[in-house]
Amino acid sequence: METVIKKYKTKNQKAKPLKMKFTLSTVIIHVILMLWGLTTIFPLVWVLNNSFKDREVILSNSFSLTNYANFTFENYITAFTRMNILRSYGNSFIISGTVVLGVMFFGGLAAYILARYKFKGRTFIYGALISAVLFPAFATIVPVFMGLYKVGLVNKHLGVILPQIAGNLPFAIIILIGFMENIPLELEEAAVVEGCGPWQIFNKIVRPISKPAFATVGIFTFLWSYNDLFLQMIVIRKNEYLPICALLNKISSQYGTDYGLMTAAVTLVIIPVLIVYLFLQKYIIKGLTAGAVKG
Amino acid sequence: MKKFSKVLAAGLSGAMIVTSLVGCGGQKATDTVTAPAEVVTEQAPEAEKPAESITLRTVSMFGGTDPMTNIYGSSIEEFMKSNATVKVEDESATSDEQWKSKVLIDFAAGNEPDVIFFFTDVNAKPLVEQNKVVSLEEIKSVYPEYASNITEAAMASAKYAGDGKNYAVPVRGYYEGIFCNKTLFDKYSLELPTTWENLEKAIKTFKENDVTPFAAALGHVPHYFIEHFILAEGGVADHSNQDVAAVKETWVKALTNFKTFADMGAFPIDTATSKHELQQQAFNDGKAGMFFDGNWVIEGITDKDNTVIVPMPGTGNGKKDPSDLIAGFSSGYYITKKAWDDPAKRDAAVKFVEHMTTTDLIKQFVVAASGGAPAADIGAVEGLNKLAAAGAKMAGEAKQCDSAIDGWLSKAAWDYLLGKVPVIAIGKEDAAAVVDKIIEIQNSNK
Amino acid sequence: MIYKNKKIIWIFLFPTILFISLFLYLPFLASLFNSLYDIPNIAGIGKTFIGLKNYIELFEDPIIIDAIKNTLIMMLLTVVFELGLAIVLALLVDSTKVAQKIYRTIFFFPVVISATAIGLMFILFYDYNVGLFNQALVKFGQEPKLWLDEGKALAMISLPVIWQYVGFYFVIILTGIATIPEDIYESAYLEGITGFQKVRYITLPLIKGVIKTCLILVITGSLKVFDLPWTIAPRGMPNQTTYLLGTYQYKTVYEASRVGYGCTIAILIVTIGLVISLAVNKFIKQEEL
Repeated sequence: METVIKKYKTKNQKAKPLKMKFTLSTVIIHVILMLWGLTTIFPLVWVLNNSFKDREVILSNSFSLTNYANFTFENYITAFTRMNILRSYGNSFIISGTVVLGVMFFGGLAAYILARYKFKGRTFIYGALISAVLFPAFATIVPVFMGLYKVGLVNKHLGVILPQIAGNLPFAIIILIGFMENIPLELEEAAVVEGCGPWQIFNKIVRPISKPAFATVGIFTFLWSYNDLFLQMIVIRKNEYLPICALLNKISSQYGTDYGLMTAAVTLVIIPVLIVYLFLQKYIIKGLTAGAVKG
Repeated sequence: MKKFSKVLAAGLSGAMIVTSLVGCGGQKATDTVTAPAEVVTEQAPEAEKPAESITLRTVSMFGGTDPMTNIYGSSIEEFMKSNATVKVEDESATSDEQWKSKVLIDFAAGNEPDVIFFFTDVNAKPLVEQNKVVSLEEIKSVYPEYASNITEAAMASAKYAGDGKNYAVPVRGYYEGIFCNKTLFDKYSLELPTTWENLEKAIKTFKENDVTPFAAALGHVPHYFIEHFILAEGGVADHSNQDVAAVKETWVKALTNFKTFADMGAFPIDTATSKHELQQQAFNDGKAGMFFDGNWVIEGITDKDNTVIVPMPGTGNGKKDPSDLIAGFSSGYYITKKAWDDPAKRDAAVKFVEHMTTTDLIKQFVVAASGGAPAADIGAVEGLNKLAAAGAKMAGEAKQCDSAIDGWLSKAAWDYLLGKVPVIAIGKEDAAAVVDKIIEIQNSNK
Repeated sequence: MIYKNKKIIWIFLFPTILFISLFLYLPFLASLFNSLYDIPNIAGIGKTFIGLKNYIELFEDPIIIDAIKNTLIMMLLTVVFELGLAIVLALLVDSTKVAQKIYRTIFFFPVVISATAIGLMFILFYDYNVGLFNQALVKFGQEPKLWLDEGKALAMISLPVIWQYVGFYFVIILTGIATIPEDIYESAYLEGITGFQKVRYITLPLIKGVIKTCLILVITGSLKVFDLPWTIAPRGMPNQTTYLLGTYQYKTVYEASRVGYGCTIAILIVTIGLVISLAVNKFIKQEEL
C-alpha cells in the first residue's frame, strides 16, 4: 500500500518530457486563450467600474470608465455603514464551509460506491440523483421550512446547512462519479491484493487521487451554497446570522434598483468566492497520479 | 434634491387631498355590503401588565434604501424607549416576490409575526380568508380610539375587497398619472394631454419629430396603460366594477387602444423588449414626451421643475371626469390573530400600531417619500418638491379615485393580461378573445 | 470483481439517502400531489382539488410547446458551444506551460458573478437606444439593430447563458485531464506522438466519464435555467415567444401565482430531464468493471 503511494510522489518530480518550444501553434493557442480571457475579465471590470459610480449615471454611462468627477465610494460606504458586512462574511463562511465539508464527505462515500460497485439499485439511484437536480426550489421550500420550524431550526445556521447539504449532494455526487470512473482500477486492485478493505481503499487511494475532483466539487458547492438566496432569506431572519448574499439583498430599494449599490454589492459578494477558488485551485494540478500505473 | 421652500399649494393640497378623498372614497360604484357589526363582549384586559418584557415581532416593507426606512427604524426605537417592557424584533425587507412568499410561508407554518405592514389588496387573500388577522371592527370594539385619526376616505380605500371589511390601518396612499416633459411640450407648442384630442395630437406631433411619444416598456410594465385605458373608456364606474363580464365592452374597447396607439407610433420601437427602468431613463434624458407611472417614481425624475403630471383624459364618451384618478390605499398595519389572542401581547401590539400611525408620523412618511396621499389629515405639508406638490394637488382635486384593478383581479388573470398586452399591440391577438379568457380565469378563481 | 462485499454499499450510501429523502424527495413527492390541486399561493393556503385538470391544461397550453421547443434549441446550442468550447479550452490550456494558472483563474470569473449582474450587463449591450452594440454600430455608420426582436431574441438570450458557464465545465474537464496519470503518456511521447494524436487517442477517451457527466449536467442545466434569461427577457419577451421551461415555470409560480400548475410543469421538466439523461448515460458506455 505505502509502496504504491510512494511511487506516485517520486514520479511526480520528473521533468516534463516535451521541451518547451516556441512555435507558431503555441502563439496561436495563446491568442485564442487570451481573447477568451478578455471576455471573461470584462464583466468583472464592468461591475467593479460601475460600483464607483453614482446611481444616476450608471444606466446611461455604464461602459465608460469613470472620470474623476463621477468617482465615488458612496456605494461602498452605504453598504458598510448600513450593515455589518464582516459579520455576515463570517456567517457565509461558517454555513458554506460546513456544507462543503458535509457534501465532500457524504458525497465522496456515495460516489465511490456508485462508481465502483455493481448492484441492483445502482441505475435507480443514479436516476434519482439526476431527477433531484431538476427539482425546483419552490417545490421543496415549504415542507422543508415547516419541518425546520417545527424542530426549531429557524434562524439557526444549521437550518440552512442541512437543506443545502441535501440540495448539493446530487450534483456533487454526479460529478464525483464522473471523475472516479476514470481512475484506473489497477491501483485499487493492488490494494485489495495487499488486503485492504473498502474503507481503507477509499481513504488511502481513492480519496488522495481524487483530490482535484474534490477540490472542484468543493468550489462549486461553496459557490452555490453561498449564492442560495431564497433559502437563506426564508430560514434566517436576524441580521446577526444572515450570510452575505441575503444581507446585501436587503439593500435593494422598492423604488427601483440602485445600480451603483447593486454593483458594489456584487463586488463584495464575489471577493470571498474568488479567494476560496484561488485557494482550492492548487489542488487541481496534474501529476498526482504519475507513476501509479507502472508500479 | 428636495426643495425646502414653502409651497402654498402644498399646504392647500394637504387640506384638499383630505377633503376630496372623502369624495373619492364615497362614490365607489360597488360598495359591498358590510357584515353586521359583531358585538364582542370582552373582558377587560389584564389589569396588571406582567413585569417581564414582552417581545413583539414586527414585519414591514420598509427596507433597504427606501427613504422611509430610516423613519420607520427610528420610530421603533422611540417606541421601545417609551415602552420599556416591550422589545420589538423587526424583520423588514423590501417587497418582492420572494419576500411575499416568505410572508405567506410564515403564516402557513404558524410563524407569523405579531404586527405586519402588508398589502390590503388581493395579496392579502391568504391572510384574511384564513382568519389570521384581526378586523379593525373587532379591535375598535375593545380599543375605541384605535385608528381614529385615519380619514374615512383612506379607510374606505383600504378595505379588503373580498369582504369589504377593514383589517389594516393605512398610512400612505398612491396616485398615478401621466408625467409630461413640459419642455418638449412647449417646444412643439403642444397642450398638455388633458383631453383625448390633445393626447392624440401630442402623439402625432412627437412622432413626426422623432420624439418617442410614450416612454413605455409594454412587455415589461404595461400596468399603467391597462388601468388608464380602462378608466378613460369606462370612468370610475366601469373601472371599479369587479364583474368583468358586465363591463366587457369597456374592457375590449380599452385594450384595443394598445393596437391603435401602437399603429400611431405612440410606443418606442423596442417596447416589447425594453425595461421600465430604461424607459424612465429615456424620459429623464428628454427622449420621450410622456411617461406613465405613480407618485413613487417622483424621486427618480431628474428634472422635477420641468416635469408635470396630469390625469388621464377620458375618451370623450363622457364616462370619465377629467380629474378622476387611479389612486388609493393599498397597504397598512395588521395585527395578527396570534398576537390578539395572546393577552400579554394584545396591548403592546395595539400600542405599537397606534405609535406608528400617528398623524405626525404619517406626515413624515409622506414628505420622505416625496408625496403620496396621507391617511390622516396632516394639514400643510412643507418640503415637497415642485413635482410632488403638483402631484399632491392633482390628487387633491380629483373628483373620484379608484384603486388599481390589479388590486382585486386574481393574480392569474392579471398575469395573463400582462402577457397578452404586447401581443395585442402588434395585432396578433384579439382584445375580445383576451377579455373572454380573463373572465374565464376570474370565474374559476372564485 | 474486487468489489464483492455488498454490505458496505448501504453503509456508505446511507447518509446520502437520508439527506436526499428528507429534504428533497419527501417534499417533492408532495408536489406530485400538489399538481392535482389548484393552489393560489406558494404557502399552499386555500388549495382546491381539481384532479387531472392541470395536466389537461399542460397538453393544451400553446406556450408549453414553444417553451419545450425553445429549451431544446438552447440545450443543443449549449451542448455544442458551451461544452464544446469548454473541452477545447481545457485541452488548449492543458497544453500550455506558461500562464496556466492565470487562464484557469480568469476563465472562472463569469461563474462567480451573479446572474442579475450579468443580465444587467447584457441588457445594456442589447438595448436599442443606449446599448453598447448599437452605439458601436452607429459609430461605424450602421443602422442600430433591434437585438431582441422575434427572430434573434432566443439566440441573444442563449449567448450569455452559454458564455457564463463555459468556465464551469472548463474547470471540470481540466480536472479530469489532471487525473490522467502522467506515465500513460510517457510511452506515447517516446514514440514521438504529436499533440493532436495525443488528444485524440489518449486524452479524450480517458476523460469519457467526465465528459458524459458534463453532458448530463448541461442537459439538466438547460432544463432548469431561468435566472439569466428572466433578467434579460422576462415574461418571454418579445411577445411571449422566448419562454423556456425554467422561465415559464417561474412565471407560473411567482407571477401568476398558480402553484399547482407550476408543480405540473416541474414534473414535466423532471420527466424530460430523466429520459434524456438516462439515454445519454446508456449511450456513452463505461468500461466494464
